[in-house]
Amino acid sequence: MPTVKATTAVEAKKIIQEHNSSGKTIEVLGQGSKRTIGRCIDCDNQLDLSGLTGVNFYEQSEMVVSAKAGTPVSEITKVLAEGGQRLAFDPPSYAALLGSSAEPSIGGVLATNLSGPSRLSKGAARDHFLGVEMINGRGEQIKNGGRVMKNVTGYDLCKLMAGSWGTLAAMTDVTLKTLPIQESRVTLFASGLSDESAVQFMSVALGSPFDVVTAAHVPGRSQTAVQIEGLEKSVAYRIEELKLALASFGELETIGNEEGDAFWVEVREVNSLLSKKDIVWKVSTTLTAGPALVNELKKQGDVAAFYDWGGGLVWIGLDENQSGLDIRAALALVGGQALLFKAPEDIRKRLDVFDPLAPGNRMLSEGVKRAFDPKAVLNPGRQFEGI
Amino acid sequence: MLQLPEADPKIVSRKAEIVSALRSLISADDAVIDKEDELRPFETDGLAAYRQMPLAVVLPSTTEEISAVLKYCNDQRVNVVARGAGTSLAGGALPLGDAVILGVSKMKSILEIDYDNRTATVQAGVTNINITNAVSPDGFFYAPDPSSQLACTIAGNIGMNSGGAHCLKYGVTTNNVLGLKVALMDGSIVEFGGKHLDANSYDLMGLFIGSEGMMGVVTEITVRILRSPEGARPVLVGFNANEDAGACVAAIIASGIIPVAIEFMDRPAIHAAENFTNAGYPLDVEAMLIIEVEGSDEEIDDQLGKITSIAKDFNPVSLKVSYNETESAAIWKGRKSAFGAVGQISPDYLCMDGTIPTSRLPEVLKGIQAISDKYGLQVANIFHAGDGNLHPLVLYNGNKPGELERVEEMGAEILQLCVDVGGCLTGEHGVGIEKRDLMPIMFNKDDLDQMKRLKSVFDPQWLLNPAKVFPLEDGQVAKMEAA
Ligand SMILES: Cc1cc2nc3c(=O)[nH]c(=O)nc-3n(C[C@H](O)[C@H](O)[C@H](O)COP(=O)(O)OP(=O)(O)OC[C@H]3O[C@@H](n4cnc5c(N)ncnc54)[C@H](O)[C@@H]3O)c2cc1C
Repeated sequence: MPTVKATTAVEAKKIIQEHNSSGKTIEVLGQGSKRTIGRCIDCDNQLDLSGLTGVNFYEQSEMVVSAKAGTPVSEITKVLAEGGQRLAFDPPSYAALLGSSAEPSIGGVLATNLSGPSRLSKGAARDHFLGVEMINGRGEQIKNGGRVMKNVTGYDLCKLMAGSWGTLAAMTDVTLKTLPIQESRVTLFASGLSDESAVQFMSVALGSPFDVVTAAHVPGRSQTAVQIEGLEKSVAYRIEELKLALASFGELETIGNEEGDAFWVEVREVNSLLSKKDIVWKVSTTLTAGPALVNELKKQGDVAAFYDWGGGLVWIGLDENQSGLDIRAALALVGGQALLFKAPEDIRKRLDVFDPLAPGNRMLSEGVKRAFDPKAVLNPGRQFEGI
Repeated sequence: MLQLPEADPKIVSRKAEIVSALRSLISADDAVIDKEDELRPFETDGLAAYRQMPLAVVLPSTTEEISAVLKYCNDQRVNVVARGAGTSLAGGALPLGDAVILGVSKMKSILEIDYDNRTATVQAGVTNINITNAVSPDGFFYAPDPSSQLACTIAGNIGMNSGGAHCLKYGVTTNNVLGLKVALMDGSIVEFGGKHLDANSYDLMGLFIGSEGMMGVVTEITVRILRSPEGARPVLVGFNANEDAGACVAAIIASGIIPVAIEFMDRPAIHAAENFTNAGYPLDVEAMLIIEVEGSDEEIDDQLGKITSIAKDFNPVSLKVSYNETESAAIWKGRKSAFGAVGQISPDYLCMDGTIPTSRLPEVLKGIQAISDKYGLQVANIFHAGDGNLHPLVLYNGNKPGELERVEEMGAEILQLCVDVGGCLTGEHGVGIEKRDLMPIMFNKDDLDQMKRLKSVFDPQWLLNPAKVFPLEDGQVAKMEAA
């Protein structure tokens, strides 16, 4: 597939305009780190935005950063760290899990709306997405939102771009909210809990007034963890209070900044916790429903799983010979959504990668696609056949 | 003066037939209103300078009734304006002469509270405060807290993507909603989201929230509820110069502390609020900040200690830490009634709602003062300083001929200033009719057309709240097909 590189928004616009005129399709790529997630598509050309990089501005006191969409997340993280801040939705890198060497770009992270463990309390990528400039499928340059945190001027297209997987427009510039890196972070670990009591453990912690930021359960390691962050004194106080509230769950251990961070990186990047699984599903469900889902699946096959987001995000790993396991049928019993996150190509061609849409939602989604990209030139079929 | 499109005489002449058809779709006896005196309460909203009697009002009790009303109106090409409590300050709920008002005031049930998953599912007409009231006995709350929360409905909050004083920490409506049930104009019922986080498809919920009643009518909402903090207390700091207050806010945020709220008031706002409430505000200052933090008593002391020591670098002329609930309530009372207080010192006021990059505050306040001098109309400024949302309240007398026009002209200049420094036309009140004609300041034709195309996806005939958000062309709604 021929690659066309755009290093400016104007170039990207020109390329998309040409495709819109000719009706040729084009695959939109940032750094390409998530190319193997989603449906397999076969476009006439590839639009490479990896050269569209650089931080446009960073204003520490306004908690806002703006960058070209192809900028590697690590570059942004570095600039923010100099101001003592970060992207609080914890942008993940799945490079190891997906066996890719590419670094995620900020545009890619937003286009897929993928967020790490602190999504639970701080919101998803979409919640931190303040402004966008993009080229729609018609080749028109569109802007929406801005650089300020509160903005309801017109419809919120940033939300729509988040999670559209490049099927509506190619983003060229994005603006995000930042938050301070907290002075102190402490993780509280329990061990030996069943999935059910782990979910209860997390639920008690999250239902407490002590501002838990992340909560995960890794059965394979017999670890259940919740994290607190803030000013040092306040963290010390809240950890003690949490220990009291969670005393009935057995012995608890606290671990400070670095070592605790390492655990959350593992949870965020998934790979080391579901190692060697050929197939990985990302399941979003009601916080307390995860164990029932996993139990149901375990009756049917060999399943590895761990829980993030207080139980609301279940990562499920399967061997290739278990690919027939019907995750969505089991999920239908408790409600939620399942994304086939990693699988060999033939399986991704055979199964629905994204949840099939209800008829009304399908109709609206088709309409939204047409409103941005009437000739379906951008990433056609990346999420849904025909969209 | 803002224009509304003229009512379609063909629709108006069919009023009796439309009203009787609506009656046949709705079970409650009192749910279709068509008499002039009973329609009166619906002729305006929080933007009271504008009034327009609707054709009729219908107050359904269920999602199915809403769907039936919409389907009928869609088939008959009758305009519909959805309405919550009618507190919109942007004219978002203002009727059209040929429109049916679809109010959700009969849909007040809390359907489910799920503490384990920390969600509440409610009908669209539940007021914002009643969500918190339903869960507060168990120590929980619903975070977005518009000052109008006693009256405004969650439906209206969804329509406008409303914010509140505490959204610096907790976010606005869109960050706190998990799922919506929506009736579309063709009568179909769709669901977005649920009790789980994040969609694996287009974020239609994110698109819907803040779409000002133009895409569909929300009937049920699932929101995230949060455990209340152990406590919260503010500190009040007065400054001799707006610059000092602005720099103090920047320094607090740069230090890594994110208070739950940082509210700014300028001299006229302070004086109006103090006269009205005797909150104990300092009257000899140019600017004042209310900075609130949460946690246990010790945590609050620790944070307020850090904040006050930062504030001391910016020449504070008064500094008052609240040590108990009574003192906190007094500090907040003045701020919370500030709009009402301004209403007391002037026959009318226009509440503006721009957002600016926070660091530009001093310069913007100077600019507003210059505009105020030019027009000879006084302004009081209230500012959510942490997130840059500025509410200049322009005082005027609507009975003076021509004064409303002048106020609007002046308001447009203020908003132009907000946009010029990198901000936007509206931070939380919405565009409605009020800022409709200013949209081209921020957006070019392609930007606006892209939004209009989305409107057409949801409502191809442009029957839902059609005259809002987008500038009219030759006095007519300027539609745009989806593709
Ligand atoms: C004194 C005062 C203080 C205020 N303070 C704040 C504040 O702090 N923060 C803030 O953000 N706002 C504030 N507002 C503005 C206003 O209260 C909010 O915009 C509020 O969300 C409107 O709610 P409502 O129920 O009154 O809706 P309405 O005014 O009835 O409608 C608002 C919009 O929502 C649409 N709508 C209504 N129902 C539905 C439905 N079922 N489905 C789809 N769309 C619907 C309407 O068509 C309209 O466009 C204030 C207003 C006043 C008068």
